[in-house]
Amino acid sequence: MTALDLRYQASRAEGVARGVDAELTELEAIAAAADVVGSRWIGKVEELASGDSQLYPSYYQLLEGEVQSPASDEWNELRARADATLFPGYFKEIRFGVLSPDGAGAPGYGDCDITFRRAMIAHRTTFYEENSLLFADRVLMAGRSGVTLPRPIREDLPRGYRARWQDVGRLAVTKLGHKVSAGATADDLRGLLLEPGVRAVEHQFIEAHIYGSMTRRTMERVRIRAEMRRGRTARERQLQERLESIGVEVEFIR
Amino acid sequence: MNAVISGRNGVAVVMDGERCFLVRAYAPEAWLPLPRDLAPRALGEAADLEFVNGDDRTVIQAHLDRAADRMEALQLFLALFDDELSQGARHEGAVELEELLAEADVLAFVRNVVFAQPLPPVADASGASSVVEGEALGRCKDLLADVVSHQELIATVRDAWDRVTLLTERPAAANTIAVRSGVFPLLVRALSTGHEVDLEHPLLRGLDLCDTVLTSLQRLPEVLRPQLQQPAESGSQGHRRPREKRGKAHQGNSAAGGSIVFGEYALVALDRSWLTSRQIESARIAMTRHVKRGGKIWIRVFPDKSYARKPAETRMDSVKGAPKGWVAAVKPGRVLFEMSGVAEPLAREAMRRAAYKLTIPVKFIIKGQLEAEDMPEPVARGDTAPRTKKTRKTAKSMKPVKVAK
Repeated sequence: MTALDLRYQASRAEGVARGVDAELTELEAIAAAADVVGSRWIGKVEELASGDSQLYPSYYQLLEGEVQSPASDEWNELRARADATLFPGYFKEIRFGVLSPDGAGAPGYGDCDITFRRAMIAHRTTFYEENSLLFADRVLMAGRSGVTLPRPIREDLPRGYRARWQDVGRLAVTKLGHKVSAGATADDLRGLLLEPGVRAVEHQFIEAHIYGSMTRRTMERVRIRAEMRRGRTARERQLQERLESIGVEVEFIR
Repeated sequence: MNAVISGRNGVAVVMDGERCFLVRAYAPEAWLPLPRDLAPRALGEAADLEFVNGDDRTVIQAHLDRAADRMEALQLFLALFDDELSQGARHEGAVELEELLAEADVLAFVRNVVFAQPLPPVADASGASSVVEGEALGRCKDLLADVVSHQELIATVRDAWDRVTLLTERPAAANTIAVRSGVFPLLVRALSTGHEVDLEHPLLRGLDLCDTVLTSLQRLPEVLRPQLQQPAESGSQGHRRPREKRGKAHQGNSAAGGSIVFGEYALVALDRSWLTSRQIESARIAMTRHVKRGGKIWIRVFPDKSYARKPAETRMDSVKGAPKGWVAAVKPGRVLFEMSGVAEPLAREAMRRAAYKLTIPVKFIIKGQLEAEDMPEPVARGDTAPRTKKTRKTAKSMKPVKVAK
């Protein structure tokens, strides 16, 4: 029996005691059917759509390619430790996304939510109970309490917070079971899976870690939230045509 | 009020004291408060950031809208060449592009970018031409024709630029500045008319270029010269490079780089030789250390010629060895280094030290005092005496070298 199984069983037992067993079963089904979504700005989506050679880069690849500068120092230190612990030796290959029941992504990372094709990433994706950076901050560094230099990673993160795709429903119940109330509707349960907060650190979601490269062929659906241009539509039409020609659904949300 | 703008993404992050906003292009009414901890990530991996300092919202919004216009025009121009798109979508893009190109800065931006890099081989140039036919798309058509007709020269300039910036500290940053400044259209124009690149050109002088770009530009004429000496019209005909002549072509004094251009003092070669990249770097370090980072130093030669060596104990067959290093081929009269911003005795001593690192006799000269009689006579290959201790001593003492006549 795994650590996740133990936590799951405890959560279910607590749910049965509160009389929300049916709701937990529904939550598990909703999470199992949800997709992985990554958010990007429109410029990046256009770049990805322009050809099969364009790759969806990881954070570290952006740094190495001098496309992006590192985040502030304290986050960098934390990120280095968290990633080295969670993804030892392969952290540069990890792309992040969120588990989304309705195609929406985490706010603040871009206007376009990209839903990835499950068949192309399921075998190389794992899920973490929350933002792994914040989790590592809380567990490894106790809220960044004065540590200023990266230390070698020796501590193990607690077990039972990570799942393969086939177990993601159980992970959702483990994480959110205590929040489910009797009579919760399907919409309520979907809302629990992805809860935007006021600040970035307050967003609640189940984080997806995808190993390896992705291209436009890995995309299944793109939701574009903002109106792209005043009165001009050619760019929208071109993007839509490019993506639809390879079977990617495009949805504009005005 | 400070803002970081990405035209490609059509968003800006505005910092106003303690407050932070996310602003979208063309939406002046919607300035969304942004949590400060999200601000670093709000622009994602945008590589086209601009920094604006404005007193009011309208200034920042106008900058953002203009940046978005420029990037949209570029996107639409490149889409003309994309045969994955239908003719209808490309034509619609051309119509909107025509409108955007009416603004001079938008036209200049697109030109600067598309002249910096040749189109990919898959670009559908003929399809693009047919898309802009038959309607009032004059600006679009002109730009397209200009870009397509100069593809070979654009590739030549790009190749030369990559070679001269390879050894600079931050080639990507130098490239970005050069693209934004409009250096590439200027170089292509110079090449197409068969003229040297004029570093005193008003456009180049007026540019706010960083040192790396300036250094690269100083080296560029040397790299481009072989192309500049070709007739411009032979460009599209697939000309063959003429075979290098041996003998007299390799005799005589240096035809290029014979005068002080940038600094006040210079070190001039008095003999012919290959100077390796390591010798050049070593001499530069010797000078820099002596002047203690004061003044300014120019390196007027570039090791753009590779040489090969076969490993020891291998048979004497005709197979060429592996590339071993890079050299600059130097002839008598060639200015090797220049210096300015320091007193003459200091410059003289620094260059004396640099001379130790070189394998040829050299001479210290001062701008304005470099007269024809000071220049060495041509040294025919084979006439040069074998390098002896005496030669080294002469170089060391920096006295004029006796040159065989």
